[in-house]
Amino acid sequence: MEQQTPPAHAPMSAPAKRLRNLFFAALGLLVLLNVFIHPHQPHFGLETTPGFWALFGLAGAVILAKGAKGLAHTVLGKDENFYEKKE
Amino acid sequence: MTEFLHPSIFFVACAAAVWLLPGRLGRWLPPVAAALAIASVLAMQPGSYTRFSYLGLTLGLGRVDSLSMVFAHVFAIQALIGFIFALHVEDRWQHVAACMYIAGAFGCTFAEDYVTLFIFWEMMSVASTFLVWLRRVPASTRAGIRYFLFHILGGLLLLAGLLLRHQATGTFAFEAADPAAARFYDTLIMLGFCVNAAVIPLHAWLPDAYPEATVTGAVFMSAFTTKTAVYVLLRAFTGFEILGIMGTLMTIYGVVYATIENNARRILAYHIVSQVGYMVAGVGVGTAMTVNGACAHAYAHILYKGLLFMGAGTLLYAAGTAKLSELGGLFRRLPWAFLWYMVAAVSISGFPLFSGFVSKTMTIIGAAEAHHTWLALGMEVAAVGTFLSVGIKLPYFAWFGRPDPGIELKPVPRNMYAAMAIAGLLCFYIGIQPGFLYRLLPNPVDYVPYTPWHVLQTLLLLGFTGLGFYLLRHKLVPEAKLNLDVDYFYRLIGRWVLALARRPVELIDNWWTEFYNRAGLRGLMNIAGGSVWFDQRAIDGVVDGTAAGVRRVGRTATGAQTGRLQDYLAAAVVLGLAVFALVWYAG
Repeated sequence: MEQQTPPAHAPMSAPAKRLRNLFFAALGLLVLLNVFIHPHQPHFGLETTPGFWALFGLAGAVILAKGAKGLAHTVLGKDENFYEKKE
Repeated sequence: MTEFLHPSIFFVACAAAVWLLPGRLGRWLPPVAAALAIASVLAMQPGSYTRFSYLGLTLGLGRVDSLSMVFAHVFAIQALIGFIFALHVEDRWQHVAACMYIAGAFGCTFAEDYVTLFIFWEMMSVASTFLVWLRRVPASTRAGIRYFLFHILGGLLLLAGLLLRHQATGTFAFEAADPAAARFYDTLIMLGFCVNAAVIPLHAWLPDAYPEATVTGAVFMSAFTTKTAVYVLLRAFTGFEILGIMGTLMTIYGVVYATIENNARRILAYHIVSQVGYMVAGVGVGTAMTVNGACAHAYAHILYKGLLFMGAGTLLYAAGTAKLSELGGLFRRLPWAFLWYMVAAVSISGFPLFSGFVSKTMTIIGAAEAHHTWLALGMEVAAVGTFLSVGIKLPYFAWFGRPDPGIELKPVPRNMYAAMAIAGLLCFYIGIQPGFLYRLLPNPVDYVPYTPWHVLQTLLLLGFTGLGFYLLRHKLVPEAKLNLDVDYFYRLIGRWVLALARRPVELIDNWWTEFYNRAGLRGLMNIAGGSVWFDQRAIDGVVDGTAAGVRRVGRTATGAQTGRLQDYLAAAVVLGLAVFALVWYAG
């Protein structure tokens, strides 16, 4: 059970690829809209830069995922029966 | 008196009826009690009701104002949803425990003084402990003990604080404390509240116990304990800046753990820590807008978190496990559970058209407008993490992710789906009709959620979070592991005490055995025999098998052969009451 790596780089099916491309297009459209739509009351300077929240979301997700997994693989992660074994 | 009927009355009466009625009749009663509670909340008019004098003390059980109303409103609705979800449960003790637990929550909400609050507060912790124990597996027995001990600690902090406060000010009135002139007793009371609000680092009881509770018990617990704590924090500690900082840290702490957890219900439990963080931060910032945000978010959160726990509970009920590493590919076989889960998931993530969007942004923008830009940014990071772990990771690995592993599924009762449908439709309704929620809030609302910029900002943030998941999807595969948290320390302290205590206790025990053998106290033994019979027949009959588990935990915890942790717990409660009585009569 431990070594259950998923089919890591299985090729994507055609409908899945189409869905992915649609998703990418939507993201592009959102950033484009951001050039025209601005915050009515910006709370700090950077917020008015188009694409700021896009970058914030992407960077936030990557840093959170990498950081949390890093913690789990070093200090936090233990065997599932960690507490039972010690008792 | 006619304007106010305390909702707790319905639930206490219902608990008694379920206990006494024969057969399976009883389980139809709790939804009726909840419906009556909704009616009584809707009929309430602001004011102070049910005041009476006891020992020269004026106790108030019915403070109805805009703040208690909004919480009572959602508590009553969630009680109905929860009991519909639990309609198939045949174990009457689960219904009794849930009824007493909800009665406690309503009691806290309408309490006008600290004595009343304390009594209902303790009632909640005892009843909710049973919602953990009644799953009747060894892991839940152990988790329940830790849960109960930690809440005893919180209760004692509250008790110490309210007694010191009475000594200093001569009143038990449950009113707002002044952030500029906070005293030591205020800190004690706040710490007691923070235990139940799962403020880090006092939060570990929550992700420890909730995943071990019964399927239906976790749905109730996710709604009432932490939100009652948010309510009392709002009542007493609005504007305490430390809460703003701790709340924001909670929002991020919760999502970090949720990103690496494997058990679906534990992921959701960490998300309670995270979501309650938004509310605690709103209390701490303390402007009219963030107080509104905290109330609105509590309201929305109770509905969608209950729904998330129902979705994950359905997985556990049907598949027998909530571990993502053992699930996957269940979309074709549990499509309805997936659909309702996703409604809750987009609600908690704050997608436009769903309830989280109209409440979460209120707190964040309120913090930004109060010039707490860093707190607002911290909460945006947590919003990213929320969507990443609850919105994408959990459903992806539970319902898709890999081919169906072919687990045999137990059929899911229809009432569970009915409850999920009600909760899901409410999440959607609040999302499209925010006025419904805003009208209930304590302060006037001049916030408009649906502006082009708010919608675009949210879609950018969440859309690119999705892109992040897509890029890292192979890194985020759930692993069958346990992640250390703060509970490590108190589990460790237990072990140290055990090691330290073993030697002297063994010494005394040997001496006692020797004495006992020589003195030969026959009569004492007969009495003891009788009480053991009563204990096993009467009490073990109630909580079948749990006492045996408790005894086992007790043995390891004390290291002595007495094995009576429950005696110590009872002694602690009696001692607490004795101290209270003493202070009362002496003071």
